[in-house]
Amino acid sequence: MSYNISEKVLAELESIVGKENISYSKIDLIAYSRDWSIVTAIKGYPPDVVVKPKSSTEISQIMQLANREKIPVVPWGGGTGMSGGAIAIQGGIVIDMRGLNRIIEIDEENLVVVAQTGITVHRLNNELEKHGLWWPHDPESKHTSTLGGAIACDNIGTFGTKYGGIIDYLLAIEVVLPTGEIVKIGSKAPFSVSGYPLHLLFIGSEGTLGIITEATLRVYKKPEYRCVELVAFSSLSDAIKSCLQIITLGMDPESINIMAKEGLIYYTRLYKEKFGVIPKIPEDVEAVVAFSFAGSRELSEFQRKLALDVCVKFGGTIIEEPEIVSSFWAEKHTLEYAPQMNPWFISAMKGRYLGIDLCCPLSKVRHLHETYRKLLSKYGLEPASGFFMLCKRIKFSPNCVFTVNVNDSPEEVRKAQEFICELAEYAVKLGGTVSSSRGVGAAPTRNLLYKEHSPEALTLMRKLKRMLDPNNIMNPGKKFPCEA
Amino acid sequence: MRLADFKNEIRACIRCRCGFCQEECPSFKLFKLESYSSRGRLTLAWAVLNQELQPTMTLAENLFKCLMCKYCSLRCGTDIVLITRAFRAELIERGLVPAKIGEFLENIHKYGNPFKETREKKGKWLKELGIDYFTPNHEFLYYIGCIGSYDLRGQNMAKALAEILLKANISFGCLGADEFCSGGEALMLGESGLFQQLAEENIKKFKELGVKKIVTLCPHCYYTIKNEYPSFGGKFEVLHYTQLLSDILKNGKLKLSKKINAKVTYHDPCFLGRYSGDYESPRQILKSTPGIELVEMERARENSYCCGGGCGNFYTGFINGSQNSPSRARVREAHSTGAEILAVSCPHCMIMLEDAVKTEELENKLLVKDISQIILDAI
Repeated sequence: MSYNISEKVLAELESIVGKENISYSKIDLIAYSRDWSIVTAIKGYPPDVVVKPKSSTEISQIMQLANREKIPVVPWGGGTGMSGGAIAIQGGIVIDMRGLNRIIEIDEENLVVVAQTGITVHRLNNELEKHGLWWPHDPESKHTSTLGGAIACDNIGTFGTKYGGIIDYLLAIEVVLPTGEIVKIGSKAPFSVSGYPLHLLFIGSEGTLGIITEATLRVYKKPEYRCVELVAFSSLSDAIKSCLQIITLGMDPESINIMAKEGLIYYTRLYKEKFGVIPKIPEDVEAVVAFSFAGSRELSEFQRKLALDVCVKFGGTIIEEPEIVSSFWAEKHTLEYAPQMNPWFISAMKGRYLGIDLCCPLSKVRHLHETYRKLLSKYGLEPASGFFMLCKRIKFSPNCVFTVNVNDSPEEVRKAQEFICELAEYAVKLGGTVSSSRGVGAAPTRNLLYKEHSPEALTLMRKLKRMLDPNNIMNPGKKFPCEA
Repeated sequence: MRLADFKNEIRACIRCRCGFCQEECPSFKLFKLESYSSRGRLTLAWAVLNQELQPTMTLAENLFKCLMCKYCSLRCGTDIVLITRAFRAELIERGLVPAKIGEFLENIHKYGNPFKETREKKGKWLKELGIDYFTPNHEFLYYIGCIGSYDLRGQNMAKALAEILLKANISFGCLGADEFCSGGEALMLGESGLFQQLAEENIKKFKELGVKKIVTLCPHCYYTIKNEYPSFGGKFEVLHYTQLLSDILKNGKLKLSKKINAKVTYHDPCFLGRYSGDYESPRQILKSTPGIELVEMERARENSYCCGGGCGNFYTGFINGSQNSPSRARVREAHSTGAEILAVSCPHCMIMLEDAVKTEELENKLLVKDISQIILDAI
């Protein structure tokens, strides 16, 4: 959809960001028309103009102009979104945030970093590493995805079990509101009950309430040692029980990941390279638990042994092949692949990978998993890497990811959308949510919000949105059901 | 191969938007727009294949700003540079070539080199150094390449290497005025017709002269002759000069007696490093040079940052000029290691980085030297 921005407005935009930081050339616009989501599977949505501001002041001026002219504004971080959040589905102005990529302060003593949000997660960590620190938010897209994207989509990372999610890191933000005000919320104080914690409102806001331009984060000392283990189980329930027991006994794993058998097959690449065959995975394996401990060698090793004992007691079989463990850890954390062996690209040769993030009470996970299996058969879809659970919040609060492989034919995309909605609706019935991570964006699940939230809650959300964004310029068509 | 032959790979990129190609992509880092990264360019390729986008000169101007440094290919699940080559070839077929690139290719076509220089000038200095014309009695053909033959700084590198080879009693000869461009740049620019013509002429000449082994000054020529010529029937044993030097130092044919006493950092050229996978030969030479303390830049080996000279950019200057141009960013990085010498092993890198040292006003702090020049000083 084209918004037809007038030449006068384009000239004003140019005067704000400078000639070299604006483009409305067709080729530049097409390059911003797609992301990783099913939203852009069949066609792309080019914006009308792309701008690359360098400061929150410039963003504020852009917002004032867009608000005056009622032009949609869509922030773009790394463009790796899986829900269409950064796609200008109604046209308008795409703001490429990667020009705001400075680290403002690294406070080693207080373990706090202040950075602009266009910095990639990886670069932020590279800089922190020079001070012996790290931000343990660790998505697989970290080389490309930005700090702003992580906050706005309330993303998951490998180390959530120990360090939590965005809410556990975020101390303060600077945000530019749709009406142009630049607002600083929060401070370096580890806790505060004075006023409302408004910065938390912007976590998972997906660019619908404003543009987060700066963030103050809790960071940690980089652990000196790490050990990783994989254990196979013949029952998902036993896998979950052993993880709960690990936590109950007071152990402190930095990551816990439970995956289905299909997921394990993804991690046999190194083994195959070395031995020429895929390792034999016993028929009865239903789930695999992967965990890691980090910190001092002594403590990590002690916990590792204890955790393995727990798993074995629950019927687990330790996966001894180091090649499988290394492959798994390469995909989860190090991302060290041999040249031209990027596994996502290789899997994309077969189909579009869709990860549907749902969350439900722990006791219902098995039901949700069974329904996922049934729906795969009903719709005739492939499971991609199957199902996995990753702790998004501290301790064992798993985010469930159900994966599907979709070829981009209109028929299969339609089937996949129906599949996603049916599964998400079932998650709500079990007391869960239609989206527990990566945002809702323009995904079909946004139309199910009324299933999950009460009418009063939705009304309050809409009121808040209108109060902050009276002309609905911020990422319109996202997050809320279609009519909003 | 044509662009449509890569449809599956391009579609995979449309499905998987990991953007791993972007992090150290020189053109993306400079222009900071999606369309200047491989992810963006493959999105455009998809639009062209689906006829949502008609190729224009604007598209050509973007596409020819890729330096083909191969960083993206190493981070991806496919060899993106092959797709870029095919994409460029389609634009060339439609006559969509930026003027400077057109001029560069035409010079190679007409004069056998991009500098519009006469053949006679090529290797004039060879006689001064007493270097023979290649005969079947020589072990190696020393293939100098265009920059080594015509550019003053390239010549200094080429001469230094020739002197070392003479001192080490290596049996070699050159082709002087009979040496044609290897065609590597033409190939990377998507001008496969011109490349084929050059490759065939060179192969014919090499075969007529009985060439078996070739040592090249330039990693671009090394890669091209070694990997692309065999498809046209030209199978030779090809070495980059750092591989030969590393070898003769190891087997004692050459002894280094003088101390260099300097902190040195080494810049991996794309065509010896990422394209050919040799990161060790140059480092082994530097490590075996007395007095040298080798320090690494943050971006080294597979992650080395391109000097910005590839795909004719040393001539067209398409992505030079600003503070963020690859060569300027690279010399700042080299300087930040505390090194006094930035060692190179490619004439493209020499030109780009030496110019950047001047622009960055680092002349008295950082000296760009080819490995051959360092070794000559140490003999």
